Amino acid sequence: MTGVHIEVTDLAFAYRRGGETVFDGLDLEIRPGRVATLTGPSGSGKSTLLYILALMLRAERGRIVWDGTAVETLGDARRAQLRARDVGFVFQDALLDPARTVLDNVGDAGVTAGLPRRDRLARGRELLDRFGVGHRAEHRPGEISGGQAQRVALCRALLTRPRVIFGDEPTGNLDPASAQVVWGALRAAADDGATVVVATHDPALAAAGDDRIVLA
Amino acid sequence: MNAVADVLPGSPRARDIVDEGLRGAVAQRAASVTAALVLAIVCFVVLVTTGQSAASEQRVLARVDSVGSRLVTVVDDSGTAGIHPEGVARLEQMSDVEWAIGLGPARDVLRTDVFADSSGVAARTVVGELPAPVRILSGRAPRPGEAVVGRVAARTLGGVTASASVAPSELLTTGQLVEHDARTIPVVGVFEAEAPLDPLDEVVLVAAEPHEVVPVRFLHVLARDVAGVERLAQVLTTSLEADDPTATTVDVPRGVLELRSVIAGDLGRAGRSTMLVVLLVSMAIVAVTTLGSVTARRREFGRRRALGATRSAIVALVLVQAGASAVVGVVAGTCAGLVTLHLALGELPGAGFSAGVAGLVLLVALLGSVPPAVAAALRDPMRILRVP
Repeated sequence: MTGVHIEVTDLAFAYRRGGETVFDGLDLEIRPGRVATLTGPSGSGKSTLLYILALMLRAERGRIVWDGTAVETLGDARRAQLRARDVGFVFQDALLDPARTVLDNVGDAGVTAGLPRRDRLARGRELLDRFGVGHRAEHRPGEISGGQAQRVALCRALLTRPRVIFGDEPTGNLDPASAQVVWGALRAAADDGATVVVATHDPALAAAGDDRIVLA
Repeated sequence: MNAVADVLPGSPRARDIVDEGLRGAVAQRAASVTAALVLAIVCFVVLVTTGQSAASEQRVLARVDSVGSRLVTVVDDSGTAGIHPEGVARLEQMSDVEWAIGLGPARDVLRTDVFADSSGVAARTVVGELPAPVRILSGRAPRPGEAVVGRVAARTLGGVTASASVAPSELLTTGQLVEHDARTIPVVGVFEAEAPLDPLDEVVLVAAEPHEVVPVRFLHVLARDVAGVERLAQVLTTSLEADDPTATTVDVPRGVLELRSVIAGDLGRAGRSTMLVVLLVSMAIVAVTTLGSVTARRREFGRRRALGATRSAIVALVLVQAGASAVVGVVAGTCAGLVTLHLALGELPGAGFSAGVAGLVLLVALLGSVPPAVAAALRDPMRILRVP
């Protein structure tokens, strides 16, 4: 797998136009095959930066380049396509659909990416088994623990074998064992060539990354 | 690039959108049932109100049409116009014409077997095939030189009452008639003429001999539909095959046509107004219901957008879900409406009308769902997801 080489120049963001900036003049480079950790105090814009890098949010100013292509100016449909095909995202609160089974939740990433149903179910089961929640495949999210839910979210993020994986405090609410499973999976994806960016408050986790981005 | 991502289109497959939409409709039971119920009621109301008007309009117009709104008659009052009998066959070939017959001048005929006591009736030579409204009751259609007798004329010739009408029929189909000049005409059948040719019931029709030059006095032409009547009248006025077309008059049932137009306009207008109001109200209800549904599911749509769903995919998802509820509601409402109409009135509006109402309500449901669907698609996923 070849990850995405991400270059960011002079990035600025404010939630309200003309309002206080979350960050301003940010320059950074994130390389494939490595785990970059993103740290900083609450409100420093870690999650916001992840959303901008993952093409879910547009910056006020600045340039974001993926493998030499400026992506900040792409249209919504093209950005959605890149998100569906090349991005995996592990949200802080797992963000599962409570009305659907664990397996269907994992398959959601494949639906938006255009992965045929048979393939996404097979790959989904494979991932759930790998991360120890295969026996919960037909359960609803309300019937599993927080640690299991986060592993399910990880499975969803990995379903399409994305080139870049973002984690927003992916181990924040987990017991040590579950945190180790999630972190191990992200490390393995980077070792396999993917670009991995993880926002975290955990100093130990931040130190375990290959590159460290600190927001003030 | 990895093996999976290489083959991924990065956008949902149409089949998956339909599948997800249907799953969403099932998952959002309350919203789906509400929308289906609203549309079922709309279909029901439209069918039992407008459908009743449509059925009445259909019935009244059918009666109006049957009494001659499509019949154009050319009359040679003076007997000097010289309408060419061979023109009748050519008229029948016209696309606007359902049938055409020419009738010669009337002359009296009597029965040969009861000559002394028999009353005379009028006989007319007929040019062209007997049209559909002239139905043979007994015997067969006449060949050239043979006659068929109208139902009333048969009674007159037989001198019997209406209750014994079978007897003269049997007698006359084997009998003969004679004209004042002693020419005999074999009778081969008795007919009944329906509107608009019912006056022929009192007449004997004699099929013209080949090459017989019949002085056509009446030329009856039935247009295929009401819209073609004026066009046909224009053709008969300007291009009639006759020695002196100016000596003829062309009778068009303008009064009947105007009455038809008034009936269709009044009944139709009332029905259309009712339908328009009901459809507009239902569109607003569908829009509000769908808006409520998508608002309740804002986190789901935010999650889908974050995972890479395009705005158009979100719109399609909402419309599939709304469409699924609408189909259920429309089918249920249409069935209920038609059954009610059948039980209450014993009649149904045409299949085209029912299908049209169902299609229109379905369209209204989809149109009413478009604004909420677009609103759902335009929401910023991150602003949704960051709200706990």
